[in-house]
Amino acid sequence: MSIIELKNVQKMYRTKEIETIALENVNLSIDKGEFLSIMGPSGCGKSTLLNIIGLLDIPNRGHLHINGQDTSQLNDKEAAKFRNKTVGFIFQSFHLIPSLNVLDNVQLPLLYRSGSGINKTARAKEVLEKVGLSHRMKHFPTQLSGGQSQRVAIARAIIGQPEIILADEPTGNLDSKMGMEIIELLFDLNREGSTIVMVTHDEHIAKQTKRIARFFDGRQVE
Amino acid sequence: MHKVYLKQAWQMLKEDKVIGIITISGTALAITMIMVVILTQEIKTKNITPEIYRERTMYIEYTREESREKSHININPVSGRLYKQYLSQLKTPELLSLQKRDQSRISIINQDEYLNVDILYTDSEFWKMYRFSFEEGKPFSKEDFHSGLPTAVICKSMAQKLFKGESPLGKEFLYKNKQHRICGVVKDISTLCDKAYSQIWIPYTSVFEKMEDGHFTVVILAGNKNDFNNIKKEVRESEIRNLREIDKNTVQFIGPYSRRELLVKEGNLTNEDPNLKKSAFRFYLILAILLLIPAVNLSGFSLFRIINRTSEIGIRKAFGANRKTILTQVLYENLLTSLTGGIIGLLLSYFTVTLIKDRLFTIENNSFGEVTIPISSFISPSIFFYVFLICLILNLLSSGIPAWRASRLHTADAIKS
Repeated sequence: MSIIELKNVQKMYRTKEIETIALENVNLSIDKGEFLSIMGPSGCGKSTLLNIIGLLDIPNRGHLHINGQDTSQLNDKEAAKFRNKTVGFIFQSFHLIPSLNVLDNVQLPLLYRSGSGINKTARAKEVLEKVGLSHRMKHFPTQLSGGQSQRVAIARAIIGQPEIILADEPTGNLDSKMGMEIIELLFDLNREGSTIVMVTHDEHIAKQTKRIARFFDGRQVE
Repeated sequence: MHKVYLKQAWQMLKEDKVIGIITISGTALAITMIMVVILTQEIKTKNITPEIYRERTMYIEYTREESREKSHININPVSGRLYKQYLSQLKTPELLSLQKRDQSRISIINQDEYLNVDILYTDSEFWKMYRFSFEEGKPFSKEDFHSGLPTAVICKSMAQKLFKGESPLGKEFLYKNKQHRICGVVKDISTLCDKAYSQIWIPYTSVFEKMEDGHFTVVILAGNKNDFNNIKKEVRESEIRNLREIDKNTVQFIGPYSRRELLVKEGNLTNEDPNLKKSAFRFYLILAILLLIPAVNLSGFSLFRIINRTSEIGIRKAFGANRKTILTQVLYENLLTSLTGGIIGLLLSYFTVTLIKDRLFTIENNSFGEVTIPISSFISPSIFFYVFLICLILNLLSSGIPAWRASRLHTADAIKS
């Protein structure tokens, strides 16, 4: 059963002089619990696709359905709520907030979830334990290594128990050993039921996932 | 959520000390300037002990007498005669009192030493219009006043100068060749209470043979502020009703005016009512300019901070923040800076007002007393309300546009920046 469904999605960027087509007529269906890798050369539209799936960007044409819901009808507030509940993001550059400590960074998604009744601190400690960083709770991002930062980012992505995790080159800024540890963590999450869509340049990592979607010049080629 | 905002705002201040210090100092200086203006206005118009009924008190300081042929005009303090004929029968006021200020020399009997003092001639009603704090004794009574008994209430510091620590009650001093017996001692009054202030208060009946001989300020206590117009109307009616055929001049009282109206008139001796709306507009315009200049400067710093945090705003939006929450967060964080600056600014304004009090509050008749600002004028709910309100406005002016821009950022672009 599809959790994510893209139908004829097109994304175009316009400036005064030129029009750039980032995605052209993309049709993609991702099943619940799947681990999909998106591959392709730089500038082929991988990150744009991830942004559209994560409701961070809006397609110019076509539709995105998540859990059967057409997301094009959502306003700013509804889209924010939808993201908060359904999607967790992991970025290549970690994107932790430098003025918040590890615990506060991890709790971030829960701050925007009203009336959940969740004990935010307890839940944050729990997920930090899961990624093996419970001893770094009071540290600030500048005091962490790359691998540790990405673990915090993963903890932040999963604290709200989203159904979908979108990872944009999560190992891109890490050495191979750290990279493998992060990928292992993602596999663990997938085994626990999360649907993962990951952009990667690493063929070796991509081959370990259940499916690969390849893109070239904004089109899905495989 | 607010706790995290505060923690983050504090952390950001710590991380970027220079910007933090500049922003807080800028806010503090702006608040200082504004609060000096507001405090001065408050001290001049709001109730201060013993002038606890300022807000429902009116004053007539002068009369304008014009010859029937309109050939000449005389402007004088209200004479006892005119008061008796025109004002003593007013029905609307709760109380009426006459007072006249003087500076003179007094001495203790059998001593050659003289002291220059501020003296207020008044009546027994005067003591009901103000709340003096008596250290010893009591005010002169209605009977003392009507009998013209040379009695006096003196302030504590004067009692100390005259009697060097001995109880002054029942003792006498010499004033205008009359021995005045002291019936009460009150705590010193600040010259800021320009109507109640004096060092010695004596019944005017002990000075003037007849009340008609004196010239006074008439103090009118209304039941409440809403009676002001009725009192004015009654005075105008009295001017017409009491004008006799034999009177050579027509009489118009300049007033009665509330304290605020007197301030606006600033010594203007025409009998036109002052335009309070125009004056309030001018006052708020000055405040707006004082607010706007630092707000424009501070908004530059806010914008700089927001630009530095573009990526963070994108991340927050990715994890569920909507435009409203981003807007709220930026304003909330800035409010912390504004309030810190506000508290420092308020303390600085206390210091400034105390330092330049002699320039801010001109002392009537170069009194011998001191300008002491009661602590209650500084620590009052209205002052704290003003500070909070100004911080809020300054915050909205300085960070409103940057916050709005932050909330409108395109999420994916913001993350990439």
